[in-house]
Amino acid sequence: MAGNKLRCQRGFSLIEVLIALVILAVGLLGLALFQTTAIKGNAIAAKWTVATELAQDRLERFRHVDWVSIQPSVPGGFVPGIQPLQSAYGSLGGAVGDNTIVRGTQYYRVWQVTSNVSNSLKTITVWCCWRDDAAQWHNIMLVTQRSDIGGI
Amino acid sequence: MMRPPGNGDRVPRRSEAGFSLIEVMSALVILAIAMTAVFATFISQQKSFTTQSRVAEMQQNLRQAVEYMSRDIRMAGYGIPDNVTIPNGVIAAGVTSIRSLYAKDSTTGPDQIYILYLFDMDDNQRSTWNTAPMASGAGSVTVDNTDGFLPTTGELVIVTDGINEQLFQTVSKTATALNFGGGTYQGFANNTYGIGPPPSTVAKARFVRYYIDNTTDPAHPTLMADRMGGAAAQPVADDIEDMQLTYGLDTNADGIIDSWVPPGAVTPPQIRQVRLQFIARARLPEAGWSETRPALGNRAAGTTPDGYRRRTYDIVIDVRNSGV
Repeated sequence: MAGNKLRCQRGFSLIEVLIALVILAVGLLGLALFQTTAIKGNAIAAKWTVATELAQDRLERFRHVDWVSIQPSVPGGFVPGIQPLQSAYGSLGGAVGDNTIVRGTQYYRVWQVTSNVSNSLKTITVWCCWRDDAAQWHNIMLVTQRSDIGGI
Repeated sequence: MMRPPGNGDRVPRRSEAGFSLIEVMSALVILAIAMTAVFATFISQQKSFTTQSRVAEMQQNLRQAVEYMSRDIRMAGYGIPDNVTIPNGVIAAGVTSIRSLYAKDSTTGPDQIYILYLFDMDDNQRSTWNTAPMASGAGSVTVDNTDGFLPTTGELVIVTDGINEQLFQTVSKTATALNFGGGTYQGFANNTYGIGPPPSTVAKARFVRYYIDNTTDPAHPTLMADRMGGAAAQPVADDIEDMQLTYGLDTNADGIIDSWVPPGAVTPPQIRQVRLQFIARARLPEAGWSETRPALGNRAAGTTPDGYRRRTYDIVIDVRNSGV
């Protein structure tokens, strides 16, 4: 009965259509995820911009302060003894340094200062650290040097 | 292959040749459901895309504004040994000289800033030196070469021997001479510049005024750079709503910043750092978003919420050539 067989395959059953709709829905959700990724990308970029701004700000402020007051923000802000130095995220909350909240995100600034033998040149390393939405730490590190001549 | 159609074949085929009304209606309903979902997704994606591209644009505008201005503020005063005489009223009434920078404060609107330095970092716009003495009141200066200067009128030029310096505006040049005249910056040649050694430096001057133009297009306040040489001001960054400046002063000359004050109340030689603050906002207001312009520097916050998304930037810049 070729005719009967043909008739069976002519249309879609309700189940088939519903499955197709579910697949479509999953596809649309996937598209929505793209957009979420873009939004997150923008938010991440904004946070990097803020962190860079804060780190630069800290470095520039060191250029016209009292020579003896340029000291590391110890203790606990960074891991001692490891080169290159890393900031110790776990102790940032209690570390001497400072922190600010910009648009709902808390940024921690810590800095390390090392002097040369004659104490005429200081190398200043500043970290600005923050946590993203997944509680993952990020940081930006900037380094500068300063001499003690005339507060320049 | 073909065989004559028989009755047994014909009847079922005819009944399958079309759709019943029920079938068409249910297909339409299902299609409508699917299309609604697709359309709803499209609308929300579209809205989100618009918002996000505006946010990205705003962040880029903000970075650009800071990048441009902080470079110029860092250079302010470079190659300028002492106050340069300028016509009264060019930067403010009663102010007739500038050495590094001069900011104009406003508590009800954006601040503005004038920056002066000697421009010789670029091989294409390099400085030169005078090869013949320049007399007081001279209308031109004879120099080693003029490759680095524009042939057109309106170029601002600094002549300095390290002690005195003067600002001129060119009208023309030859291979070995720059001719001054006309313009605002003419008629101040009251020093004599010898040929040394060392000879006097003749270089392009970067005399620039940064301000926010919120009158040309009130919906899009724009950070502008005015080169002061008679040419029209150029846009630097779009949709910068506010700019506030604060001076870091070293009042007792010990190299340490003692106080932060808004511009205007102090004498510029004490300026060691400048705190630069910006508010950027999105290009267009957004339905369903409500935000009020926040307070910045010594300017109070806005009073009515609007639909603009905003970002602020706050950074201290050390003036490297502040004339310690």
